[in-house]
Amino acid sequence: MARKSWVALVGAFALVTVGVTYVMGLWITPPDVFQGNLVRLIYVHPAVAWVAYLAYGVTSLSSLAYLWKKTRNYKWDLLAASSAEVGVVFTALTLITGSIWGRPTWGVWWTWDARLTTTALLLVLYLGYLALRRVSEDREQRAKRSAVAALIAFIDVPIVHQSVVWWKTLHQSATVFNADLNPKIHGEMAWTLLLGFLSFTVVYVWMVIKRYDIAKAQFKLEDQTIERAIKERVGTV
Amino acid sequence: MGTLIMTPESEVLDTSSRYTTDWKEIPGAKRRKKKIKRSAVAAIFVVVAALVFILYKGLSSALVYFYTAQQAVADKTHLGTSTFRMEGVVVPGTVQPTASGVNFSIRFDHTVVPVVEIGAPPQLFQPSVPVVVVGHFSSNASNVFLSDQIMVKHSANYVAAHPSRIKDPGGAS
Amino acid sequence: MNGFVEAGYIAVAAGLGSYSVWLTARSKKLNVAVVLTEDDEGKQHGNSNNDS
Repeated sequence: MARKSWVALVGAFALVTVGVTYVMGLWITPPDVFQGNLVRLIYVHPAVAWVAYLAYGVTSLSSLAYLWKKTRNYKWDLLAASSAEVGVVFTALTLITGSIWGRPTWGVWWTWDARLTTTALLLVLYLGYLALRRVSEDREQRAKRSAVAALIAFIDVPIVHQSVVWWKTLHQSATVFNADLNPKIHGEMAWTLLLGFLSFTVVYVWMVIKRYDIAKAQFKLEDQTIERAIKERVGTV
Repeated sequence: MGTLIMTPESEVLDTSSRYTTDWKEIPGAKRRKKKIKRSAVAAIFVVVAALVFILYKGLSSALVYFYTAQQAVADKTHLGTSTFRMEGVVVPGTVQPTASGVNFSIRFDHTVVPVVEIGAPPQLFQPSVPVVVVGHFSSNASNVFLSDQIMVKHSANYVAAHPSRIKDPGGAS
Repeated sequence: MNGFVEAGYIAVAAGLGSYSVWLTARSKKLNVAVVLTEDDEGKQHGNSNNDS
């Protein structure tokens, strides 16, 4: 019970911080000297993309924890899957908001530059991971296979982040997490950007907890159904 | 063939099925499992197809997304009149709207390339911004670049338009 | 503002919102199911872990 109210508290905090980010981003912050009001998309798009990275990072660490014999536990497999699913939601939103931002600023909804291509790849790789999880019904096989797949897919994350440095792209380079860690945004705009990162991270935390609870309940239910089916067939031993 | 010769495998299958007939069946259980698996394999197939498509696009377009105006002019004999993307900064004072679009020049370092654009430029198009134009040189002899698309390559710098925070609901766009 | 900004903010709210609703609904349903089967097992067979 205490856990339940704690999770609800995280959810409420997420809702409030996102709400404040929205108000700051839409109405309080000033328009940009070049982009005008279009700059307001910076308070959501990079934050959502960051959460996708974070989600896949958690998936990778949990997958490692499953693969390592000393910490092997199905819980890690379930956490990896939960975080990946949330990551896919955020990756899709990254592509959608990026597209919406690209049309008025660049002039195109989509272009095959390195950043966009590797991000699309990221979405498809983790969709593949989720699809792979549905192929095998053997728990151990599924957990092992998907843990390896998750680690392979993660290779794309640093590639996405560095793509704007390694290749010539239409997409701009990083505003905050650039090579010399010299933010190119200041004042109110910078604070709102930071708040966006924080608020969507809290949203992620809440979502992963909820998704993990669902995965755990499903796991338990599966066990119960199997046990019951065995008992119905064999009778009470 | 299978009916006459009993292989060890089919024997095993046979005995197991003898046991299972005594068991209580969960209605619809087996069929449902198979269905899920088939859809999962189909999903993987779609994902692999998408992967191949994206990798193809990436290798053919993303690795060399554009040539700078300087590189394009230097590579002109090789590029000929093929279509590619070219990057440069719009030279102030050269932008001239035409009936079919806009004429302007782009510059990279000291190389200037005149561009004839057919079609409407994006709303953020203006002098001194870096742009990527899609098109080709008009002929092997000429340096004029015929473009049918302009993309504005904005920077990662963000500066408040009104430091005194006067509300501007209309904005620049 | 200009339509694009609003569209972006709405897309994020709609995407995260609908996923949250799905998460809440599904976890409620599953928790009920787990509790039900637990009760069921308890009545019918007692402690099932001793059997295996």
